[in-house]
Amino acid sequence: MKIVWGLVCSFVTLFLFGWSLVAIFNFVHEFVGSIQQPSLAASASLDLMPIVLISIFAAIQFFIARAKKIPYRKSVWLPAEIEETDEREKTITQKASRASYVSMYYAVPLAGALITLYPLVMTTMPYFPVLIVMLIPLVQVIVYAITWNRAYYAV
Amino acid sequence: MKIRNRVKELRARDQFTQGDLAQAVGVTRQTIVALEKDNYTPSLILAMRIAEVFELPVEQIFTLEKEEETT
Repeated sequence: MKIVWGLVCSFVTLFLFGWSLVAIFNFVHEFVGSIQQPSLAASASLDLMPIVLISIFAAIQFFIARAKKIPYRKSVWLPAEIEETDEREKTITQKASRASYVSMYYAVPLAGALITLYPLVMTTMPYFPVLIVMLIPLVQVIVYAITWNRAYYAV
Repeated sequence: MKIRNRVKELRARDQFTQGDLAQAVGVTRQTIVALEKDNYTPSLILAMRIAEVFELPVEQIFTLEKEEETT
């Protein structure tokens, strides 16, 4: 599968980014909780592990892109799974982008519907909205990958 | 309507590999594979580049296959 490395990069980046957001969310949540109790000094702890990991992963991707002589603009600003080496790949990318766009038509309202369940999990999983929001790009990447792969190997 | 082509036949005639042809016209080998199996309709630019490589007019390589009319 040609775009496999790009997909791995996207999935790992999304996972680490989601994890980082949860860490930051927990930090803010804890901090707000502490300032609401005037008897205690304001304090909060931040889990730096996901932030360190995503920084390391970004550096690895950057150096691999440089070794492969991928233009800076593509390696930094475009999702790694976008492959447009020739006109056929451009056509397949257009097809996959369309499918990915259509998937958002369903994924976003579904995510909105899932957010309404937040009161049920608010105490056990306060970072629930962060996970739901991160599901949206995950759906986008999965649909893009399936469509791209089908079109590319349809021979 | 579908575009049929003689790329596989002409490639064999000129003893080109799929990789050779891909490199000559500036596409990936997978695109030549798709073309030969009539699974991809090339752009006019690519069709003309292929015609240039085989030294033939485009219409002798690519032909439009019309759907049979039902009676």
